[in-house]
Amino acid sequence: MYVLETKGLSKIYGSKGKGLAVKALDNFNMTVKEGEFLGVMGPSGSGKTTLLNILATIDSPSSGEVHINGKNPHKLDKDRLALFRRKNLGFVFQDFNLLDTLSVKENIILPLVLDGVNSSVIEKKVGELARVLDIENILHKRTYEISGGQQQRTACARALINDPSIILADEPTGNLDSKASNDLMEALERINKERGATIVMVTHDAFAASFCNRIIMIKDGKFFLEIVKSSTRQVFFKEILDSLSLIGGGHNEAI
Amino acid sequence: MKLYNIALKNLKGNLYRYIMYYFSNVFTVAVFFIFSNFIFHPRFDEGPLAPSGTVHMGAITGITVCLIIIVIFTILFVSYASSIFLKARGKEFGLLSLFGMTSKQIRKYVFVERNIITVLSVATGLITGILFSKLFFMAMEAFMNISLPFSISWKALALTIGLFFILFEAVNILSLFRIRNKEIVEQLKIEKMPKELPSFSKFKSLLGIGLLIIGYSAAWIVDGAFVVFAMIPVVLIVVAGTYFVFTQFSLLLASRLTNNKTIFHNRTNLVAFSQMRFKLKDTAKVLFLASVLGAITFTATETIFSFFTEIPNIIGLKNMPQDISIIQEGENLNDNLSIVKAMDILKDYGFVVEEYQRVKLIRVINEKEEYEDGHVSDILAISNSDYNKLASYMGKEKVQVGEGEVIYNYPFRTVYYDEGIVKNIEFPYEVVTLNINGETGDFTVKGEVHGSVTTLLNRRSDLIILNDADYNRISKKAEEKDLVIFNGIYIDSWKTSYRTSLKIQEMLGERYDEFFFSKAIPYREMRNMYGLALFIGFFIAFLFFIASGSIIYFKLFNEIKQDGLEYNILKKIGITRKEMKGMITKQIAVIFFLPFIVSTIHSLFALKSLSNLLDAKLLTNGLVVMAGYFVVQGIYFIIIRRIYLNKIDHISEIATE
Repeated sequence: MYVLETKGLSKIYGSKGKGLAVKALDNFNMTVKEGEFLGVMGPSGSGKTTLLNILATIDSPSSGEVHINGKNPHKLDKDRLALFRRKNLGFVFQDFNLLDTLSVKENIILPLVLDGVNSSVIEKKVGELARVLDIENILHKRTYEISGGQQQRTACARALINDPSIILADEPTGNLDSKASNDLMEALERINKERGATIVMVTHDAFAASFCNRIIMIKDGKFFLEIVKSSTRQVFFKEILDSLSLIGGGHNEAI
Repeated sequence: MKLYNIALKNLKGNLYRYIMYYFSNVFTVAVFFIFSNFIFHPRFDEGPLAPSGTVHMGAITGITVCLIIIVIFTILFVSYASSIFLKARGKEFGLLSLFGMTSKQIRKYVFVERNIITVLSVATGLITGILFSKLFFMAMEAFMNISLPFSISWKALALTIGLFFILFEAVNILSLFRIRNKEIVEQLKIEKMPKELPSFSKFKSLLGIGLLIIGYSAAWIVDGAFVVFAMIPVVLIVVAGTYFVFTQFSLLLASRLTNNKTIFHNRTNLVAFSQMRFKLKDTAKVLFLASVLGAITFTATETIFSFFTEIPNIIGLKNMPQDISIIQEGENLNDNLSIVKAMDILKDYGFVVEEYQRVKLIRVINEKEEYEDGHVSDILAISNSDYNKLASYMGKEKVQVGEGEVIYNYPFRTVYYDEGIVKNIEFPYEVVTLNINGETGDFTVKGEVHGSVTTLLNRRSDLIILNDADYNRISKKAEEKDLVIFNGIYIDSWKTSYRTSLKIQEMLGERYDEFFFSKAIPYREMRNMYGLALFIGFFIAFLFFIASGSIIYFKLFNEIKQDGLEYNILKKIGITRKEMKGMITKQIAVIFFLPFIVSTIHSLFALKSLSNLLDAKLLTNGLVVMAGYFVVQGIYFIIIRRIYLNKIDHISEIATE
C-alpha cells in the first residue's frame, strides 16, 4: 500500500467562462511508498507548486483523486480537512512560515498544543526532535533572533512533531545560503533514514534534490521522467543535471 | 490614468480601512448641522418662545456648548486618525517612490484621496442632517412645549460646510508634512520587521494599580461638599493610573498568562494569547485614550441621568408632603367653593384623592425675633392635634405639647457643620413670647422637630405647635386677617397630574397665584429641562462613543494583513475555521471590551462620589446607563468582528493562491 497516491490529477485555472484556461496539471499520476524521500522537479510553471498545494489539501483538483493512507481528503469538509492536515501532514515552506509572536519552542509544539496533547508528552517530543535537528540551544529564542537555517530547521521540527504520514516541503532551501542548505538537507536525510519519515519535496535546486531517493520531473503539468538514486549522491546529482538539460527551459535557472 | 484615478482606486481597495472614519465624520457633520439648524431657526429671532425662559436659554446655551465640543473633538479625532492612516501606509509610499513618484506627487496623491473623503463625508453628513432635522425638531417641540415648523437655515448650511471644509483641509494639509522621507528599502521592509517581545516595568505596573486604588478609595470615602475639592486630584490620579495599567500592567498580566503552561499551552490559547500580547502593546495608548474618553462619556451620561431621576430630591419636592396644596387667606379665606371645584377637577381627570387635609393656622408674632430695625417676624401656629393628624398620615412621630409649652417645627432635615460642631438646633430660645393682636403670652420651648408636615408657599414654612387649649385661647383672639387655612391633598399618582394641575390653576385664577401649589408643575418643568439635557447630551456621548470605537477599529485593521498571513500559516498547519473564529473573537473582544470595562468601573466610582455629594443612592442609575452602552458596544463589536473575519478570510485566501 502506498502512503500517497494520485490518480488522473488535473487542475485547470480560469476555466469558468472567462479568460484563458490554463492546465496546470494534466492527468498526473504518482505514488509514494512509506519511508521514501521523493523530489519533484520541473521548470517554472510546470505545475510543481500546484501539485504540492493539492497534496497539501489547501487546493482542490479539478478532476482526479488523491489518496493519503488510502483516504481521499478532498472529500472532507473544510473543518475536517483542517484536522486531517493537523494529524497527517507536516509542512516545510520556502519562507519558513513561523509565527513571530511565538518563541522557537512554541512554534514547534503548536500542532500538539492545538490537539490538546499532554504537556509531558510534548516536552519529550520537543527534546528529541531538537536533538536530531540541532536546535536545542535556541528553543527559547524568538524567531527574529535566529538565522534562516535555524528557522527552517525549526519549521522541520514543527512539521515532524505530530508524526505525520507525509512531510511536504516546498522549496525548503530557496531562502537559504549553501551552508544552511546543506545542513538542512542533511537533517532531512537523517529524518528520513533514522525515523523513516516519508518526505515529498518540491525543488528547483539540483543539489537539494540529490539528497532524495527518487526524483519525478514534471513538464507542462504532465509527468516527464523519473530517476532513482542508484549509487552515491554525487552520481545522482550528475544524473539530475542531465535530466534537467533534457527537460529544457528550466535548466538554466536550476543551477 | 491620472493621480485622481489612482487615489480613487486606492480608496475603493482600502474601503474597509476608511469606512469607520467616514461614518464617524458623517455622524459628526450631521449632528453639527442638526444642532446649528436648530439654533438658527427663524422662530428664535423673535425672542424666547418656550413657556419658561430657563428651558429656552438652557436649550440654546447647551447646544452652543455642544457645537464647540464637537469642533474641538473633531480636530483631535481627525488629526489622530490621519496620523494612524499615514503610519500604516509606509510600505505603499515606499512602493510609489520606487516606481518613481516624487514626494511632492505622493503628497498630492494623499491630498486628493483625503479630499474625496472630505467631500463625501460633508455631503452625506449634510444629507443625513437634513433628513433627521425634522425628527430633532419634533423632539425639541416636545421638550420645550413650542411648535417648530420644519425649516432649513442657510446660515446653518453655510456654517457646517464652511467649518468642516476648513477643519478637514487644515488637518489634511498639516498631516501631509508628516509623510517623512525614509529610505525606500526601510519603508518597504516596515511590515516584515518582526516585533520584539513587549517589555514592561514591574514598578510602573504596580504604580498604576496603586494609583487606581488611591483614586478609587478617595472617590468612595470623600463625602458631602469635599467631593468638589477632591474631584480634580482624584481624576488626575485615576487617569495616570489608567495609563500605567494599560501600558504596563496589561503586559505584565499577559506575560504572566503566557508563562502559565496550563493556561497558555491549552489548544488555541497558545496562538491567541501570544498574539494578544503584541496587540496589547500596539494598542495600549489607544485603549487608554478610549477608556478615558469612555469614562467621561459614561460619567456625564450617568450624572445627567441621575439629575433626571433625582429631580424630586434636587428641587426639594421630597420636603413637600402634600401633592397639591391650596391656601386660603385674606380675600380667599371663605372661598370654599374653589376647593370643591378643585376636587371635582381631580375626580374628572380620574385621580383618586387619597387624603384631604384641612387645617386652620393662626399667624402670631414671635417677639423674640425682633430685628434691629424694629421689624418683627410672624410665625404660624398649629394645634397639637392638627399637627399629630398631619404627622401621623406621613408616618412621622406624634408630639405631646403641654399647656404653656411650644414645640418648634423646622421644615428641613438639614444637619450642617459649623466650625466642626454638628448644628441641628434652629430655634435657640428657651422661652418665646407670642403676640396676637397685642395680647402676649410666654411659652416654654420644649424642643423642636424637623421635617415639614405642610406645603406652605412663599412664606416661612416653619410652624409653632401649641397645646390644643392654648391654641383655642389664641384662636378666640384671632381676627380674619390672622387666619390661614391650609388645604392639603394627597392623590394616587402626582407625577402624572401636570395637565390636571394646570386646569386647577386656571380655575383658581389670579387671586390664587401664590396660594396654589402642585408638585407636578415644577417636577414636569425640571423633567423637561433635564430630559432636554439628556437628549442633547446623548448626541455628544454617541459621538465620543463612535469615535473611540473607530480609533480602536483603525488600530485593529492596521495589523490585519499581518494577521491574515499568520492565519494562513495556521490554516496550513491545520486549524479549523471554528478555532480561528474563536481566536479572533477572543482578541477583538479583549480590545473592544477592555476599555469599556475600565470606563465602566471608573464611572461607577465617579457615580459613587456623586451619590456622596447628593446624598442619594445612584447605583441603579449607573447600571441602567451601562446596560444601554453595553448594548450599543455589543452591536458595534458584532459588526466589526464580522468585517474583520471577512477581511481575514479574503487575505488568507489570496495568500494561498
